[in-house]
Amino acid sequence: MSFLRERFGYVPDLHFFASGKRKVRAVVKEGADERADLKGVYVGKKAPYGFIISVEGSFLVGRGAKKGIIELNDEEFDRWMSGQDLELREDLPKGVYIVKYQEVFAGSGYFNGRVLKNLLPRVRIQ
Amino acid sequence: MIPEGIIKPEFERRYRELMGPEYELFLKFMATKPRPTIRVNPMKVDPGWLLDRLEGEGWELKQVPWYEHGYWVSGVERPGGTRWHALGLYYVQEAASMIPPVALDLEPGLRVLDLAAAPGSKTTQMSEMMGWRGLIYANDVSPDRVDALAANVQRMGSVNVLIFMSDGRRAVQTFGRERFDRVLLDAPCSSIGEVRRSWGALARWSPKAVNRISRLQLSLALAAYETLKRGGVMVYSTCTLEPKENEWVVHQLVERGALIERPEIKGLKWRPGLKRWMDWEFHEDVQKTVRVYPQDNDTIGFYVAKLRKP
Repeated sequence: MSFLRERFGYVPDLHFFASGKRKVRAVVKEGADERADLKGVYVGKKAPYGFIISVEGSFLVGRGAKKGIIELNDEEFDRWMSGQDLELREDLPKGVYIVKYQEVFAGSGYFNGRVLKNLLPRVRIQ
Repeated sequence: MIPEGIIKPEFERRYRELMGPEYELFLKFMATKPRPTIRVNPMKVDPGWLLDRLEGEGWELKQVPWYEHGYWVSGVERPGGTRWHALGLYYVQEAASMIPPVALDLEPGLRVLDLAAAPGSKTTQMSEMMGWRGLIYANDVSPDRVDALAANVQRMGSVNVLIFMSDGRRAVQTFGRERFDRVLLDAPCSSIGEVRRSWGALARWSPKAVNRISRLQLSLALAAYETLKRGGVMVYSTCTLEPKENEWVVHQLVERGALIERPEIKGLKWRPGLKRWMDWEFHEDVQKTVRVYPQDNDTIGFYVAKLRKP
């Protein structure tokens, strides 16, 4: 998971493995060699513009991440959780960012230089 | 009130015998909805932070005595419809259903089988109690049930869970003999304890249906016990109060060498397992098993037995 190290400066101490062509899951290392119908949790998937981090991936990676995180205020978090994109005034490089609100992580978004595109799956939007 | 005609005469006869003078009180509780309860996920959030937020949003919270992260909630219409729920910071789970993992003496690093795991409330609770360390093998039998299980494991972030879809009666073939430190069998049942949520279980109840499901429970329990290591702990639980589905099944395990232990469940009011029921006389240690009646703690009805393989 060199991408995680490069983008967020942190790779959790887990076993990462491909699930289908583009998706990546993670399980504790004891589970690496176990056979099961499904192991651990979905962490993210490769997209043309980077690696999209799932909500669970954002918790796993975000806690140790040294960079690549955007922190939201109350109003921004309300809009984020309702599925809206966010216009950011910050001067940030383009790319995928983990979204954080106070103590919690809320998936990831793609910042295109102007707007943070909301990548939350529909089932998580309230 | 439970509508007239739903309670069958044979049900009334049996439950009058089971409840004694508390029968009317039992019915009174059965006719009311249980209090909603949540289980905070300490692996995703500092519980204090979340509780402050929820109280700030008008929730009233009351600690469940037997599980440190369980809370009865009021002042909220749909506890499962919030952003915090969507982010997996808590799980809506009946308070009595938090008992079996507590009885299992869990610790990080163990290998645990959850043989009838869907929809995953106890699986994810166990995962959190183990600090996401060790492995939980979560099994259920049908695609729909496994889908629900997988969705909840994902939402709660339970990174130490492996999911299987197989017939639990074939657990030895699927998982191997004497492989697990802990085994949970929260068995499918006639759901009489769940009548507070839906009266459907009362309408479906019949002695024949109870006998049929107890045979399935026994097959599952025997298979589950086979997968347990020597010295390991197994918890058998149901959300019914039927002796044929509870004490009778546990008695069969004792006949095959299982030892019964009295679980330590802080702050829970419970009744000992029955000594006898109808024509059956159960092993005296069956009285160490736990009967939870709806009127005891204002929860759904539940049964829990803690067993050790010598």
